[in-house]
Amino acid sequence: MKREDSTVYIPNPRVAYRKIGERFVLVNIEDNNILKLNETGSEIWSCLDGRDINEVAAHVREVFDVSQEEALSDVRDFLEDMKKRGLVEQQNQE
Amino acid sequence: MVIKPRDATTIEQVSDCEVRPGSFWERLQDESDFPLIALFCATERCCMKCAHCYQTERTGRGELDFEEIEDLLDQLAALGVFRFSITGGEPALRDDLHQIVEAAWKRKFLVSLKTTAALLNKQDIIKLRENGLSSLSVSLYHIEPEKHDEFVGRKGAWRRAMSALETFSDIGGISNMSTVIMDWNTGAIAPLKNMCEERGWNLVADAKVLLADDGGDAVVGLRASGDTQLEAMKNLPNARQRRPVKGPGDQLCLAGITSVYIKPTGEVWLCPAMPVSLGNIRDRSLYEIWTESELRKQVIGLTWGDSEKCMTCEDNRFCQRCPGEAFKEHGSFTAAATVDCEVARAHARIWREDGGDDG
Repeated sequence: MKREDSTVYIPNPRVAYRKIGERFVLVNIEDNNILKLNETGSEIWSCLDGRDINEVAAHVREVFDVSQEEALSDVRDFLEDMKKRGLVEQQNQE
Repeated sequence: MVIKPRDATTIEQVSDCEVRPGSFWERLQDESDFPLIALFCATERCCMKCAHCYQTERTGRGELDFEEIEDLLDQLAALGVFRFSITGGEPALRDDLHQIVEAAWKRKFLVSLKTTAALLNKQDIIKLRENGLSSLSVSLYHIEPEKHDEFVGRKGAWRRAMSALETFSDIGGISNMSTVIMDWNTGAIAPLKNMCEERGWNLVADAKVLLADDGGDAVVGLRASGDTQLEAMKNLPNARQRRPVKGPGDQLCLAGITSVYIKPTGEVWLCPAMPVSLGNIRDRSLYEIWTESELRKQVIGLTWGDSEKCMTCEDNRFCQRCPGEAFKEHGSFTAAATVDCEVARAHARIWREDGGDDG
């Protein structure tokens, strides 16, 4: 698994979202599914502002006190899942 | 990591705009101090002449301009409001309706629109959807075009309404047909319901004809009654729902909790059915108006036990007593409005005719 990753994910433009309490709630208006993220997912979602995966993982590592490797792996898995659900788009790849 | 981000929780389907007991919106509301839903009456001007309309101000004087609406949207987003519902009057009478939808979507609201659709052609509906409109509610009062058009006072209105609903659902949006049960259209409710089911639309049918904002009761003659009302109400989604008996400490209504209503002039109300202003966003921030309002505190503190008459009423578990309607009729939030008693009685009859127990 590659250690560094400069892939950038951004929210799909057809997704409405809001932070309610401590968690983000997302609705893709194309299929009208509601997704409520957990605490970790919400931290990651809040970083989808142009930061690449490395930067997102660094934020997660800081907040949850985990290794960079573990954070990177979890962030990557989460965003791949979000991509499959049509909730994020990949902006560019190294 | 203790909680894996990929175990993202809770997938549900957004259906319509109603906050029903136990619904996703109601459960989600527990996690926010501010309402998750904002209803924005973009204008009270209207191109229709529906006899049951409760709005009394139609001039359009002093409406918020687009810049003020953008500021409102910023405030709502910062307060955590998620759903932005545009209503009227007829919102399409505003030249900037498309801009308003686009501005709300840009701030990632879930955007909905309630309209007569009389001024919206197919291209408008497509553009609204492209601009981020998630759900469209269109008023339709009869299955027969001529009867609908005659009631709303506009030829071709039925055809426009149907076209808007069809176009919007064809391009993936949520289409809601809004209707009101009245004495002249009771026979049309079942066919309207069937039409919605066939097309995958939601039917949002109101069993109550509300008094005018100024308490005017000219609409009372439109209220359905007797067996025809009962037959029409049997088509409502909640017609046969079992309801708990009300306890004296049970909260009366969700006004002031789940939604905030903003009038075209910037006045803030708790609910469209409660014509009392908390303040104006032209004078103070929405947050200040909301959190400092004594009226809001009073209304969210209302309980069923405030009315002895209601607590001893055998039909009270079928009742959705509206303090706003009571205020219009009696000048008191704790009184019982006639229409609420009538509708509760009808719900109770449906329940008992179906063999429901009284426990």
